[in-house]
Amino acid sequence: MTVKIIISFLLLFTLNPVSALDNPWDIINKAAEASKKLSYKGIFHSQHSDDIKSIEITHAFRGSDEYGSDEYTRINMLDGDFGEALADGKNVVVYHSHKNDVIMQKRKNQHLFPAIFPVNPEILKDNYELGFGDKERVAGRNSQIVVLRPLDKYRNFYHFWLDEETSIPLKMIVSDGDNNIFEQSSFTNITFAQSSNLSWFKPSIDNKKQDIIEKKLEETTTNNKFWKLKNILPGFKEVDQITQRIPGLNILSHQLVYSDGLAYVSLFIRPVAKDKRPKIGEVRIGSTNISARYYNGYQIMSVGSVPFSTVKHFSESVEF
Amino acid sequence: MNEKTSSLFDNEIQVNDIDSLLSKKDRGINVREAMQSYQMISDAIQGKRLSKNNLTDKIMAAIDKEPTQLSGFLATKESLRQYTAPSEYWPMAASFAALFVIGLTVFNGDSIKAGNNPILAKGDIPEDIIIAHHSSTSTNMNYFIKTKD
Repeated sequence: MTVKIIISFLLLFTLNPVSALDNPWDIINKAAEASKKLSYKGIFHSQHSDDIKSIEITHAFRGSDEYGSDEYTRINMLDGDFGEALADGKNVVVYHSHKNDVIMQKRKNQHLFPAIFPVNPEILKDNYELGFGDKERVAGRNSQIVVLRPLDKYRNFYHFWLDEETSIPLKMIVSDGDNNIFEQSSFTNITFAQSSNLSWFKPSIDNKKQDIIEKKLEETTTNNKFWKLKNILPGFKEVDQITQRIPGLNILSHQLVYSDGLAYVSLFIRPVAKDKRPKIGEVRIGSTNISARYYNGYQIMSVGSVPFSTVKHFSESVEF
Repeated sequence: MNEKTSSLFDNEIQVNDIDSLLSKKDRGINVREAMQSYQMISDAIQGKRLSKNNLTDKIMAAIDKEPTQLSGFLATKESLRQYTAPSEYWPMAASFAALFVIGLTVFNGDSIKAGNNPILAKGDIPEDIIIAHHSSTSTNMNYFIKTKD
């Protein structure tokens, strides 16, 4: 009997390559690396709340050095209004139609599917538990289902269908513990090809037919961090700070971005104008939760596709 | 008697009746109260009644300073305790208040469970805040590319 059990275990580990990994988290490391270091082109459907769009992505990787990665991405909206994003590993430029014009804007970062993992996926270990599910076909390819379950009530569940051959995420679902789906993306087709040709890496708008309006972010710097956060949730770190002067008003609006590697929370701190009433309470817009608080003349708002308890915790953590 | 008092404040009383009326004013509470009422009504009609303390303005100013709470529900746990606390003088009112709170909880259970905070309307959240959040954090392309017009 004991021998049978031992043999069964041995067979189980031999037949299931995932279980045979020395470190199960390697599969997440491989997925993060694959989404950045493979060259691929494909179309995926993306759903956020009730909004579903088809999106085309083209990605090329041409090596990396100490200055960063030589990585090029173009993402096009195929449904609805025109929209496009071009990223070269350091800079991101977005284009989207507005009436008869196209608005262009530079951004700092992007965490768009399928490259949604943090640079160092190891940080996820402290706050998520890794689980393996069945194998399923997605976009005509075999995939392994992997689930990142939160270890506390402040995060969502992340389900990934990772390509068996390359480990790139072919499908992703973000849900709560009751399986209410907030967001999902899934490739319908994807092809891998290594090519040095970057002729496709340019905006597809027609300069002759449409005017391009560059919309600059009125960002400013501030050394006066008059706020502090008490009891930041485990795993969350400040990853960005954006300070903007509100047009028409001589007041600064501060946006602090916190992330645990997968979930993002923006914390807004802005003074309340004399003729405005501050908001207090909570609201859900689509899959985004917002917690608003009034504190010492300032409107505090935390925003994120995270549970209510998380945005509430952030808004109540601010003090000065 | 009331007619004479009213006539006094409307300047319609006969001179002979004034002494008689004033001599009676200290005789009873009813007469004094009637005179106060007529004085107030007369001042209001003639536009003389101005609040020395601008009470209305002060109340409106105080309301303006209050944060907006659109839910109509109990704002916090503290407020809830305040409404349900036993009252030494108004046991009946306290009972009704408790029943009212229980009723609210039963009929709006989901809303209150959401976070024990007032429920804001979508329109209470500035659009630029939502756009700014998604433009720096979204994993969804459709939300990521949007900019404020």
